[in-house]
Amino acid sequence: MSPAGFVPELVVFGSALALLLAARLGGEAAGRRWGRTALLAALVALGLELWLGAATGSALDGGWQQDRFSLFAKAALLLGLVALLAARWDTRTGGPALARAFVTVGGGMVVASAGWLVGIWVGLALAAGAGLSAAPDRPGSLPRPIAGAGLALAGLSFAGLSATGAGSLTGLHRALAARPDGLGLGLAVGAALAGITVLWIGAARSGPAGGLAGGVATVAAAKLLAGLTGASPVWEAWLAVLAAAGLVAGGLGALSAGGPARLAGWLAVGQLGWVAAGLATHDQRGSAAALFLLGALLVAGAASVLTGAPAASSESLAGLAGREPGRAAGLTLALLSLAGAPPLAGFVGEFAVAAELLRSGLAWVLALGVGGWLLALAGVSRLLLVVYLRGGVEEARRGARARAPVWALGAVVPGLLAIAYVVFANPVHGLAVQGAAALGLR
Amino acid sequence: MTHWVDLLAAIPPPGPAGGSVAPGPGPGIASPTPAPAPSQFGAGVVGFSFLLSLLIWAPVLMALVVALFPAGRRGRFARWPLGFAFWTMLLGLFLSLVAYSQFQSFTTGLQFEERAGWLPGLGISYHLGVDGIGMSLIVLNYLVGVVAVLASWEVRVRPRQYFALLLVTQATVSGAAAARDLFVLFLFWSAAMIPAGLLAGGWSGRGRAATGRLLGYWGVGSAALLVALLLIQQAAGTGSFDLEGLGLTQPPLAVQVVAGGLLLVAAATRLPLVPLHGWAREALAEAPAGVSVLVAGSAMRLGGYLLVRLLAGVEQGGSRALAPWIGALAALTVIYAALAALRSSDLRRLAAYLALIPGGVTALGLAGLSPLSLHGAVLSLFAGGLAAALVVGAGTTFAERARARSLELTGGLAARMPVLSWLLLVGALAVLGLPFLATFTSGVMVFLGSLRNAPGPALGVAVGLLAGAAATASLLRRAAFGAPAPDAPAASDASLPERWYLGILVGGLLWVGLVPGGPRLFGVPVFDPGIINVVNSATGDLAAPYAPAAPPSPRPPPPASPPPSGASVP
Repeated sequence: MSPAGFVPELVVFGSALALLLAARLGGEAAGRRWGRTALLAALVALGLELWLGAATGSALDGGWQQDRFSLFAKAALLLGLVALLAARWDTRTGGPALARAFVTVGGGMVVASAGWLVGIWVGLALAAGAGLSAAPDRPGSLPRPIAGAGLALAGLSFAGLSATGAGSLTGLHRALAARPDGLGLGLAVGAALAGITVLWIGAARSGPAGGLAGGVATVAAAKLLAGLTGASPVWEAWLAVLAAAGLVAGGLGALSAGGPARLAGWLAVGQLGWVAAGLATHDQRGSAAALFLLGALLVAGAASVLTGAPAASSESLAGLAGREPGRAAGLTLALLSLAGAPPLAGFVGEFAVAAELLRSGLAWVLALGVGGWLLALAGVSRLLLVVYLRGGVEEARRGARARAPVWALGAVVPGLLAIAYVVFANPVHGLAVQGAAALGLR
Repeated sequence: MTHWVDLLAAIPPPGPAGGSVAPGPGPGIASPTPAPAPSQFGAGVVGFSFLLSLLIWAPVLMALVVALFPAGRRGRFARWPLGFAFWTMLLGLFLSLVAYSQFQSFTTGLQFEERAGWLPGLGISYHLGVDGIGMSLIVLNYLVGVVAVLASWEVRVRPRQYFALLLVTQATVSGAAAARDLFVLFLFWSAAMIPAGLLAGGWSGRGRAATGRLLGYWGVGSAALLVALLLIQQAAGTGSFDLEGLGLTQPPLAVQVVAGGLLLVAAATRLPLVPLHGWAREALAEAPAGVSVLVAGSAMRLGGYLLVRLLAGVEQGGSRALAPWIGALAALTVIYAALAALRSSDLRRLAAYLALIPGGVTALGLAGLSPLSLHGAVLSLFAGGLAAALVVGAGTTFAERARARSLELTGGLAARMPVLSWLLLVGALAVLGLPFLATFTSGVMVFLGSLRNAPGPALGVAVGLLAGAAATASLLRRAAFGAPAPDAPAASDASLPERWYLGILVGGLLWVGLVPGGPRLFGVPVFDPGIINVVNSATGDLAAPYAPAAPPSPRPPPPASPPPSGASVP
């Protein structure tokens, strides 16, 4: 593998470092300028990854692998980062917050290319630490302790696997192939996956950067699952159960969410459930559909920053369409995509997963997923009623003293990306298929 | 993992003593054959290769423009959304009528076809095309769209949001009617949920209840449709969602029955058919006139279209097996709607119940499963849409002009509201199938075609129509004639936009009722090829598998055998 293959990672971590230094030296007053610079850096990193990452290879004696899966995963994470930074374009977001987003994605890039389990764990730790460091500290909020517990469990499992000589993914696959019913091995992998799951639960509801961390956790889970091919059916069924739980919980949570930020979080949980359902088919087509949906989730999930303060209620967005039409449009497109409403990216991804679920015989997961989908749509519709149809003075009687609406064009970018994801779905899906093939699933 | 198709295929088919539907000549190719390139058709006036995409996406783009258009200082541009919506619908209607006049009704197959690869890895393509059925639905949709915008002339609360949602809802119907790929069909079918739900609840007094009910019922329908489409696609084994290949093979009967049942659930939530009609009362009786007209006139017709296109057209075995159930639901719907209308004391709800009747007639035609009843069912999509839109529109406008919904307060208003009274009368009678109106033609075809295969449901629907006539008589006696209520508020007759939109609907019903084959001058068709001819170009293929088997031809007498050699001849 050519050293040029590390350039995107260098750009990402370098940007994070530069943003931190600039914040320390330049102060918060320059936040707006940093936002534009950060967006440019993310776009450059994405372009470099798509160009340089196309060359496959390995380095560090197999510890670093560049294949189609890592290309897709990294590109998806970087696209999510672009969407997040664009949504923050018109806000005075400080350097540290932007740096955290870069570190989260950087950790994900490490996970995507790691060939050793310790590398996966390091990437997860970077992503979780950065993504959840901005999680709200309100009473009863548990994203950081939950994520920390998950990380610890995964770390212990990886340590145990490394001690038994299965410290790399290749070694793990060999060990599982040699002893498919090995209880200890299966338990260790299951514990690692459980830890990642807990991390995912904590991350998915802790805000936009946490959503990126949730995506990183999903990438890690996909890599580990490849090693479960041929393992005991108990472990294969586990993911289906997890997916079903995510689908139902996401739908119910979306329907009962008290505020827009919580709604976005639960929608992300539900869509991650669909991703898990695609992986639960344990074959290439299902995994390709899952990866396709993961990209859509990362793009739309980044727009949850538009929901405002985490503790704000839905009423805070009443009449938003009249006050900030751009933010309202971006929020609408992003939430609808997260809910799986047509014709947006989330809908296409969920449809693809649904087709694979029926083909694989997981009709019960499909049934629960469809129910969760309906609940998610209902939850989003409730918010849209507030955003577009509440709090409006009759527009014909608005006086000259009424403030002109604020047009935040950057807020629309995630929604436009969700539409572009559908228009250009073919090349994206093609890359997802190659990524699933590279995962080595049957 | 067990494949669900294999599970269903292992279920043995029922015995020969099944439903009352006479089997056809056997499974055949029900879907139309591919057509030549669209630019070959017609006089070249409309030779776009993107006509259908234009008809579908132009309202969506204009909805975006309307949603983002500023209101201006002191509301200077407050009426511009109405203008945008009106001209979009009018230009679309013009284009669709030109396409309709160019439509080649003497050939089968798709016209104005568009195809582009989209997700070949999933078997999904952007495939659009119309046959006679689709063409009539698109014309209906744009006609109702213009009418809905005119009916919304007085909407001044949040007009940008209102007209944007109206345009998007209208576009989803065109998309579903033109879709030739199951994924594209499902995309447009389910895309209507949220805009229609917001329209139903956002401008009525029962906001969240109306939105919730519509989303709930239509959501269940979308879920059922999703599973049905996936079953159909996987049972076909082609790996593609394109409709062209799906009709070539008939999957196992058990798969057809399950998929057909799910399609019936999906259609029943949209038509609607009792008992999945719970959303219709709020949407038709509480929403503004424009929303009620659009939903009743075109959005609801998609339920019948789904049954025609997928159940009768693709799943023929399932269609035969489910025909008794469809007939029962049809009769139940018509009887329930008529009785509910008879008992109602709210004018708008009475009209809403009457608007359910055309859906029942369409379903009866699909239960009859004879060529004549299927012709009638397809024609009733067009005619029933106009009739349902007219009755809810007239009822809504009457109630608004009378400033009262209760029939206790609307007595004797015919003297002060003669135009609206007549229009309300025509609307109610159109739903029942009055002669010289389009619904009469379609109704006669449905009844005559269903009497042999579905006599019970046909009788039930007839009884329901009788009850509907009684409800109509009661409505007119209480609302228009009879003694005026002393404490009734002041009433005024229809305004100019209201007369126009109701008049267009009446004109459409009369036109199709009087000249269903199109006007002719010395035997030559004049600008209108005739809706019956357009529809018939597609229903031939649709009804072919259900045509009664030809009687066996008499055996010719055996030839006289020559005498055996050596035998003596006396």
